[in-house]
Amino acid sequence: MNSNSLTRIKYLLLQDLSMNRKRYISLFVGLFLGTLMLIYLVHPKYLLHDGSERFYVAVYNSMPVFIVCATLVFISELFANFSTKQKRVHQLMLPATKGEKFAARFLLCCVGFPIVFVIAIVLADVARWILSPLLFENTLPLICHKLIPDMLLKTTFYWEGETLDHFLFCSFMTWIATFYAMGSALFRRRALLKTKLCLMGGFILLVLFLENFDIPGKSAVDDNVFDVMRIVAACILLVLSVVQFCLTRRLYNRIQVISKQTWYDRI
Amino acid sequence: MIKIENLTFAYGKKKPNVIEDLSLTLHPGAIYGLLGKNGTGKSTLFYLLSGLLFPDGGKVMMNDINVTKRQLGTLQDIYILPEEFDAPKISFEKYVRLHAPLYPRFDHEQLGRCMAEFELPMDVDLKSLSMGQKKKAMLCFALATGTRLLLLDEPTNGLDIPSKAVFRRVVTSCMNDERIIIISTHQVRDVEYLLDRVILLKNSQLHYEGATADITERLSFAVVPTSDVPSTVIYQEPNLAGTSVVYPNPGGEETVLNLELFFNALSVQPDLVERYLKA
Repeated sequence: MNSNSLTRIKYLLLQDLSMNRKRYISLFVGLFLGTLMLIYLVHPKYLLHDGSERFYVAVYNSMPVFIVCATLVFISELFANFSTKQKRVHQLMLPATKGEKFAARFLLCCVGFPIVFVIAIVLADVARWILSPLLFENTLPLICHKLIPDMLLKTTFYWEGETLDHFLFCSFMTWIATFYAMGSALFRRRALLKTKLCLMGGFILLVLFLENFDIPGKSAVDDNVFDVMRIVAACILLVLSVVQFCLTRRLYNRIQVISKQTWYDRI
Repeated sequence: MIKIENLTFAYGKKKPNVIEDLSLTLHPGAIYGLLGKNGTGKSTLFYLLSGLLFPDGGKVMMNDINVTKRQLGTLQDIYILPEEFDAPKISFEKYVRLHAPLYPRFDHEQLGRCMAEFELPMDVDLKSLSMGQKKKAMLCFALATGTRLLLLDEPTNGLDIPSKAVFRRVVTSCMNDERIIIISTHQVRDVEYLLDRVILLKNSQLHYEGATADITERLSFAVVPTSDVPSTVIYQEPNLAGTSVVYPNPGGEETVLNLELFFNALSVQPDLVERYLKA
């Protein structure tokens, strides 16, 4: 990647931000209001008896689900700029390489949006701290200055469970992220909803299939066997992640202005 | 130079071919008119030429590079202005600032001249413009990109009458020996004096491709009183002023091309028209 590439990526990013600013502002407002609602749902019961530490723990424990959901929303936006015919013409004809176009979109969705999310969390906490005295008799102190570093460092670098569980968890998250990226490339329009439906459908089929087998629980198997099962499951998820990533790349390279009718034609 | 080799395309495996075994070479320094009835594949051909669609057979080569590869160099040399487009909700100045750097041969002076011809200010807000005005602004941008291949799909749709003359003027002023401009249109009267060559599509295939100068050298077009129709007439159709006729021009006299009449004649009497064109 040379300086011309970086210049083109810069212009691609600026274009995207300028031309879709209403959509991104709505996303930011949604994240802000969602975080504010989450904090307010947790907040009132800790107002009495100086529950600030327990309030912090309650918010911290609620955040992972919210973060995962937000991350999947961001990933589903990867190919949203190909959602209509006019947008596809504009995007495909932009004079930049496929890699540069993808890099710009990746920077926006997987770096920019999370940064905006962090800003939304901070603003929601500040808004809570400002509005609380108007709604309640007292208020709990700001928590964002501790919440953000803890979320970033503890969740990423510290793991209190077993290493194999951590490995399995990371493999699962990688698989689900690439699944949603593939869904974004395949569906483009309402990708989040359609991908979620496919995932739910897949899990239902998997559960129905597994009902035919007598799978032993953790207590019924040897620890070594259970470790092997976890390693195998994690490896399968990683292989599936690679396959999904390759499919996503192929779908992206084969995007045309008018979608062929079947998904098979697109691949 | 653009080489189209045995191009075939259909919208789905069970659907009929929209483009069938089309082969053509487009040379720089010419303005092409792409004509055909509704559904004959004009817009599809535009998408295939620009790499927006992948053909089922054959290929389109621009300077020996397959356009479907969507390489940077190819994309910097093609601009397509579709019939319908989403004008972004920003000022035109901002749009130019964000997009012009991606086109190495972008000519800001040319853009300024075109906008002045269309009487549009550079800082106009695109979302506040009418459809015709948006089209004018985007036309100016398209012409200023300096791309070697410029595809204009129904460019005069939505333009008022004075702007159609301005359109012809600005397109001519932006033409050079390296450029190919292809105009797909049903409004043939808006562009017939502009075109150097004509491509006619019929039944998914190439029906005719040739220079407008060759057409007018071999055929004459006129409106005559119904009682004075020449005996050598190839094609005739009634007209409010009499009868529109197409007849041979053996002396090669200077004649004005009537593209609509030529299109109708070629559709109804293809063998006869082609015989005289090849003579």
